[in-house]
Amino acid sequence: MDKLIIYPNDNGGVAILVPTESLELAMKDIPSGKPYLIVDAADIPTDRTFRNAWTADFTDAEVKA
Amino acid sequence: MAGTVVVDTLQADSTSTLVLKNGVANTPPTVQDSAGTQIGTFCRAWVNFNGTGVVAIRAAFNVSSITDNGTGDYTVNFTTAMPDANYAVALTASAGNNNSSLVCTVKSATQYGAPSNQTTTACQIVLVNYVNSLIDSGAVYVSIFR
Repeated sequence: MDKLIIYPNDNGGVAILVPTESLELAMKDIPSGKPYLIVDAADIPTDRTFRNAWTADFTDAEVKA
Repeated sequence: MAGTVVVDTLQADSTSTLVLKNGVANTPPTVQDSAGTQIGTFCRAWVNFNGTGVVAIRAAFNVSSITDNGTGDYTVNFTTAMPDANYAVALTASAGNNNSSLVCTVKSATQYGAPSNQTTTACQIVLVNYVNSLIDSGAVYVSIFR
């Protein structure tokens, strides 16, 4: 998938939702009340050395109903 | 129309895929022996994905997405929900070529507790190495039976 969904997880990090078939189908898997962003897969770092320390700016993100 | 058809082989023609279709919603067909005893069931969902780099799904059935929660921590999200949370999870992953140990578990809220992060819509799994640290794997395999 070229597009992924990111949202803040409960540990202060970032969860990355990777769709199997389509972005539309995967939208249901975003927890309710979480802000989320749709991003290009190419924008996700491939080096996971500090994966649990990743952060993102969700200031202008939509919130899952 | 209820009834029984007795045959030796079910085979689709060369241009079709054989389909077994149950009459009850969200209930797969079952396999029975000659006495009518259920002796098998079908896999409800499965996925093979690469948990390193940017997580990539190689192939899947009834899985809408994988959530990458962090190092060695993933959630398998189902396209069609399970009838309840009492399903069995078959889980394994590649540990690489150095014979390292790798423990794959359903994540629990309490130590050795019931797999509480197993719901009708998703199942959270974690991979732990020999020093009890979460670790990613390049090949993670999850199958769900109910």
